[in-house]
Amino acid sequence: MTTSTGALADRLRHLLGPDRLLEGDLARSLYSHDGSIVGGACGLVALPETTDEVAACMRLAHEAGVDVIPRGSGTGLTGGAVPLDGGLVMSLARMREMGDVDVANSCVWVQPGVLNLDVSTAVAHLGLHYAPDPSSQQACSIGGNVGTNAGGPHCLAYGVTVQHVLGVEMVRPDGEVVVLGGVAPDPPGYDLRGLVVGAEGTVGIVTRVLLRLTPLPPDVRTMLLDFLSVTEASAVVQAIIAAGVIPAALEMMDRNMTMAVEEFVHAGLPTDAAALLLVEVDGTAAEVDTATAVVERVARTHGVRTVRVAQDEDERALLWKARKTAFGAVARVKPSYYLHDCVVPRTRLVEVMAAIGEITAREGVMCLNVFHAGDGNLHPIIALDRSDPDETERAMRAGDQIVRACVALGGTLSGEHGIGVEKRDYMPLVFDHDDLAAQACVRRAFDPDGRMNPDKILPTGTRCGEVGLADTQVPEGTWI
Amino acid sequence: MDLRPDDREEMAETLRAATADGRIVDVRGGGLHSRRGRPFTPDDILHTHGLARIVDYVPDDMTITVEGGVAVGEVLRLASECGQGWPQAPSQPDATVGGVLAAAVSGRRRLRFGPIRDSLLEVVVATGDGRIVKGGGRTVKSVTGYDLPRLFTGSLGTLGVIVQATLRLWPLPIAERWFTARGEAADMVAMAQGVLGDLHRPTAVIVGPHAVHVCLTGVPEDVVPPAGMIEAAEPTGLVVPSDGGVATGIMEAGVPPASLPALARRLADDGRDYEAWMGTGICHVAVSTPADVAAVRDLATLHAGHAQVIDGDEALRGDPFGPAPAGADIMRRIRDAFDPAGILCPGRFAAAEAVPA
Amino acid sequence: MSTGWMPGLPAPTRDDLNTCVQCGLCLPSCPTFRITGLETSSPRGRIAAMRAVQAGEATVTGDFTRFTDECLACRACEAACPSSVPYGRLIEAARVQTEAARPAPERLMRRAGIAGIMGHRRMVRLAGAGLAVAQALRLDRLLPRHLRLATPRVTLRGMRMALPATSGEGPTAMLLTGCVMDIAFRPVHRATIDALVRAGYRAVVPGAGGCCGALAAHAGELDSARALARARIAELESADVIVVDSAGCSAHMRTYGHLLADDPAWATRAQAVAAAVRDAVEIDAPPGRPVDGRVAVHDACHHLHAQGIGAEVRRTLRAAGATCVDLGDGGRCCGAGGIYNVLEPEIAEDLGAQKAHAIIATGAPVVAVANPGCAIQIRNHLRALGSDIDVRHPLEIVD
Repeated sequence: MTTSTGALADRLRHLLGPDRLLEGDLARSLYSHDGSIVGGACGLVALPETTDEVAACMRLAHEAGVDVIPRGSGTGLTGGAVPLDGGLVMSLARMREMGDVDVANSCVWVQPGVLNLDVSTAVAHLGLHYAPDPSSQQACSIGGNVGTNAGGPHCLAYGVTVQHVLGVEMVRPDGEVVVLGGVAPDPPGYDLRGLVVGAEGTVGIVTRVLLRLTPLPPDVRTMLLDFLSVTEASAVVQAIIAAGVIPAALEMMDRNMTMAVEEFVHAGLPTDAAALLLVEVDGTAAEVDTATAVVERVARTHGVRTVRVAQDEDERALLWKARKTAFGAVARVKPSYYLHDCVVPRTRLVEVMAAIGEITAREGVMCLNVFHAGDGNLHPIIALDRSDPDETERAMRAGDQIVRACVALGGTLSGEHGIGVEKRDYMPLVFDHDDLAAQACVRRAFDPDGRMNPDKILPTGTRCGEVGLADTQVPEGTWI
Repeated sequence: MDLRPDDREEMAETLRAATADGRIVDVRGGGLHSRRGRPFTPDDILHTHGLARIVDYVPDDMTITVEGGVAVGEVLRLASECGQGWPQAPSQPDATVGGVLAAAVSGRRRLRFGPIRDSLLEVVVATGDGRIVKGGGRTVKSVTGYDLPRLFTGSLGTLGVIVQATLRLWPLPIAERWFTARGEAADMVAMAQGVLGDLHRPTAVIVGPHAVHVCLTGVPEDVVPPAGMIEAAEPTGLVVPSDGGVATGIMEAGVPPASLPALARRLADDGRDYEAWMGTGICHVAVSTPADVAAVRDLATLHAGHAQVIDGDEALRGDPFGPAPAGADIMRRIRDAFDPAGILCPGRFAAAEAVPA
Repeated sequence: MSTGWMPGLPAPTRDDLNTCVQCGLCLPSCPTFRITGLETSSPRGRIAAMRAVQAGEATVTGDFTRFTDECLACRACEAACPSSVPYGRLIEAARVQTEAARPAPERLMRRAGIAGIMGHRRMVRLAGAGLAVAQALRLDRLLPRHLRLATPRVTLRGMRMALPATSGEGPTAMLLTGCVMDIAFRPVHRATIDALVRAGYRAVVPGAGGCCGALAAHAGELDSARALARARIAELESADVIVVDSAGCSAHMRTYGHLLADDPAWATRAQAVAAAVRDAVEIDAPPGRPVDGRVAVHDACHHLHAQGIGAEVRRTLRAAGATCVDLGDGGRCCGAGGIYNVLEPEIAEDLGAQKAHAIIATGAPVVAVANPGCAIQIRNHLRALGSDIDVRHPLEIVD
């Protein structure tokens, strides 16, 4: 530990008490990971409980010139919460108070450590819910959701996190508290709230979030369609959307994934099918009836084998459990996994699924697919045993080729997990020098010293300030 | 001087030159949202009409990529040929895509479909100092990097000129109809509140001093007249004569949605003309004098909101934005990075350091 | 690669540790994480700490001991884990390590409590009698609050309550009399015997009886646990079924096969006994009396998470006409955790109070609790909040 963090530790301990500042080697090592396979080195861990405490910690870190890495539940999949080189991890897990629900305006202020699913549970009696529903929603925090602009199956119709965050209270890197956005729409000036959401903790620490709550739909229907080929299933995804129906959710699972999940949830999934589509439609009873008919008709003209409609809430919950526990179920196949969450235009689904199949076969790795087919957001999960260096190498290579294949098909790097560390060096695949420099400028406008979650999102060497210089000054491939 | 670049490179080149020469530039699309911000005297007016190409329309993917000077009506026409629409867009066919995005003008269907910024997937801009910068991505979902599309939506041309935009389209609804009723202001507000409370996701519930307008979207079974209402056309909104001796303009207030009924009743009591978008918190109010501007802003502030002048001649635009926004220093640093010489639409920057009296 | 485990002792295995993919879905299910918000008191964090030891980056002393001590071993995380990490097995093995590494005086203290007393029926009864006298004289007020909250209510009369050696006709069902159950919960034994008779069994109460070894096993004292298991096997193996009216004990006895797998003389017998174990709520007896009104249902972790038992309790109560009310706390651990409430009083107190509030919120006059540790913790926390809600084993309620 450097002298500056040593002095900082004394001041933080004085501020928070010894129980809320973790300094021991073993404790710190537990905070040098998140849900990804990225590992780092953690300097100190602070566990503030109030905005004032966060502000005080941030002032101390500012004075000490120490990097700050915000952390929610640590379920992220790109290393976004991993301290790469020491620094102060600010765990917001103890900031989990939910304010009173503003029923008239359908919104609620919550602290960042509140868990996603707990919001919906707490407001269900008012006929409301919080729409974004990442598969980790039982465990992931609202603060983390804001950081990554999290998605989830129901974002197809309801939109991603940024569309459900009306305002944020944020502690800036120097400790100043600012409230951006709010319940009154469209305040004058730039939409800084929109920039904070998805900035992966690189612009400040969000200490309160004003969430929009959405009425529960009067009617919901969940269907499971099964197909003998991935191509047919992909075509149905496209055809459903083209037929003018935007389902609430439209998810695909391939055979490998289905087998792993079925073993865990026993939902009666057909494990001999090449691909399953989980389709949910909601709205008024008439809307649901119409949408169901369209989905069934489209599926039948595209070779669906069976259409299973959930008969009750229990069956619906079981089908969703199958979908939402899929990542963890991979451990039944191999002890670890590596995945990307690239997005491709929906029209390229068939091609990209074929490409993924070829790449993983060529590299000899097992790939399980479960993803948000409706918006083209892939999750090719490569199962691996990290103690096998050769397999790990092949998995990484396959992941790399999958990313490049997606971009080549007009796609982008991430649909909901964020860039973090894992995809940082791929950014030049989709953005050129000026694009990245512009993003660096936005980041610097919030954090002039570059101490907030450094080395995330933008490739090393991306700087604001070189703007306008000819690209030729930067050797090609510098970032890759 | 009127400048009419033909493509994005020319646009960037023009801006680079303006930055080098320190010439103040105004950006003009359809001209529908040009009377915004503090008055300023441009050296050049930069027109976007030369950038009017449809770059890529992929109906099966429900995305369309167009240049910034393309008219909103053109996008709607193309989309409708494939059974699609752009429900977040305002009912201003002659406005340009770049213009309505830069001004963040949302359509009346905002209650159901959200604000216009939710429809912008990828944006390409020519910055004040003449760089071409892209943000976002053409897929319907993306968290790849900082959200420049949201930054540019509503930036009022103070960061750069939108030269290209990729928009997310939606299927045209099976049924959509507008309904209306006329009566006293208080009754109209009450009727609107009833519709909001009774129906699942109405598309628009608009209240004026003498009428209420409701838009319903979905399947025919659900698109039926609410009690006491009859079918009618979409309302035209507040119209401001662009010339004439009397200063007239429009303010847009944003208040918590639940405060809108009270605000509307108060505006009616004060004898003002207004169009309140119930459920969204947005309210357009007609104003004629600087005193009106101050009074409407005070009223919005009283209801925990804010109000800005979105159209009006110079006399009304001495203080169009009101108090400095939160994070003004951040906004200034962003502007400095994109338009270091400060040549772009200086009057439209809400976080300017010192507002001349 | 050299690991940080102490050689010659059971330890978490590499294969078991490898099943965790660090997804974090277990975090909200963990009662201690819910309270502290610390990765160090979460299942994922404890597994990561075990991995650090496995990798030779940490030892089984100091912080590692503290992190594992804080675990309630409620195994709620196992139900939440999509990768089916055998967390219970990991934490028990880790505790064997931490116990062995503990300084001698501290170990002795813990042993005296767990193995020394629980292992010997006479000691248990003697301790019980002492407690009964102290409580009768209200001397227990002198105990620290956390010990008071962890102490069962014992009376000499209750301890002397007679249990018939045999009753009823049918296949032989032998009752585990146990340790804590035997001194503080004889009415539960009574109700269980009645239920067995109603279900058509010949209920047999073995002569000596004693502890199943669960407390010792959870505390990492595997030698004591094995000795107790062998004693119980010898005592109970002649029965057709072995009936256990304490969730913690039935869960533990079902692992006898695993516990004695490496003991050639006992492995087969242990497996047979484990297979013959029935929790008392599984015997499916007709109700002894009708029950109307609401009954709050507390799921013991050792039922819900260790054995997947939950529906059986409700079925038993509903058969008697009761309306079962689930607690609004998502079935979180009550904080008893064997003797956790003695060792980690602060967390246990928070959890106990939360549980008592959740029970009070149901408005039911009685709460069904099928585990002695939970019953003690819940009863004491209810009383501390001034509630007189009755705490009963489900079979008592329908007896």
